[in-house]
Amino acid sequence: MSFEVRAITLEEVCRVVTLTREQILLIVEEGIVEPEGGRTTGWSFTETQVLAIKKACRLHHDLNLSWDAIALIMDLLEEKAYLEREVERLTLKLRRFE
Amino acid sequence: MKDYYQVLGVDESADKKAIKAAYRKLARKYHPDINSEADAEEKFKEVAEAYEVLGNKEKRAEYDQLRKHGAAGSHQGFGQGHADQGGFRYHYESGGGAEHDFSDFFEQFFSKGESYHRPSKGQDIEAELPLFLEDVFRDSPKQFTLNMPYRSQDGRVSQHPKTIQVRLPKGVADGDRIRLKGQGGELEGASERGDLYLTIRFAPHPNIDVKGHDLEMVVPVYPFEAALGGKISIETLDGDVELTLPESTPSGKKLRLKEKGLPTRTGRGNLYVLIDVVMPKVLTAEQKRLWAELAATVKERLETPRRAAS
Repeated sequence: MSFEVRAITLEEVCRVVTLTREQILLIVEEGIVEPEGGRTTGWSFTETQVLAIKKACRLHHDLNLSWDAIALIMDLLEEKAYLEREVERLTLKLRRFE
Repeated sequence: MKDYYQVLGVDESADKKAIKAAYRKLARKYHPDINSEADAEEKFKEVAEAYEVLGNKEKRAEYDQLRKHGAAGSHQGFGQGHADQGGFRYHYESGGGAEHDFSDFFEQFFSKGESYHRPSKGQDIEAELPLFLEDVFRDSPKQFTLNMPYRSQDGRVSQHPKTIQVRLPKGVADGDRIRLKGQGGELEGASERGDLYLTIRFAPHPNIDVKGHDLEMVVPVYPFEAALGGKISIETLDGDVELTLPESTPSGKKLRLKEKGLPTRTGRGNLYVLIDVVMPKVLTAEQKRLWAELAATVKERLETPRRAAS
């Protein structure tokens, strides 16, 4: 069992998600994920970022979307998930005052 | 026999462009990464399968033939004369694109001879692990059951329940991710299982709010307790604690109980108690007299007319 501490290199990401280096560079360029480290050779990704890349790939493949559209959609989906949790939390809170 | 035209909501005479547009629209609506409804994934699978056939000139022609003459007549040698419509399977492969597992009908008539990209290890699985706040305090491993895909050599995927035990890392918080290596899907013949990625989700507590590792709760007190102050006992998620109420505590006051919140990696968060001053339900004549007597002694006056509280 390992937690989100391991740093993943660009080469490993390419292998895990079967994308080329150039495609990963595009994804990073659009800000879908922001790896740590300055130069591409020194980039390190987290598990969460690898999951985000996989999700981006699914959207790219299934819906034929460009990477910039995917970046926007993923931001909005995150916002939506946050708002849904907030609604749930506030609904519960309101119930206490009924 | 599956009606792919109906699935996409297009006419049999629809051209390639119309089919593509219908597919795109439905795919956007039902994509499981976008639509969190429980049946979205099923719907998306159907739509993807329909497009896989109708979006391809040869497959569409073959499908139209099947529709015209019936599935049994045109495909001798496939064994069954009819297609089993159940048993849709769909999953995401860890690779760059999605790989679709289609209905038996599709497998029977359209997937023959096609070479799929064969994965070398089991499928990676993403799942949410709902936790009660009480679970976070327990040191014992958390046990739960998930459906895990088993993929056989011929590409068929079946789901099998798998019981998983996980020891929660100290200081776990809502939204945290845990990776369990080799606890994901299985692939026949492969030595390695996929990984399991868990996202921790705290189930909302009816009376306690969570903010990071801090907790917040509302506690009722009587007016005389609020006025005189003193110690009151409070039930928390891990036992009773004593709260010191200062003299003349107004309703809505937030008091902090240090390190009585959720465990962090190195210690504990705080517990915030919001004071709610409530009245006893019954008021006797004697008490009314005493309240009036008490009121006469209060020199402070609230503005008249009263203004809305800011």
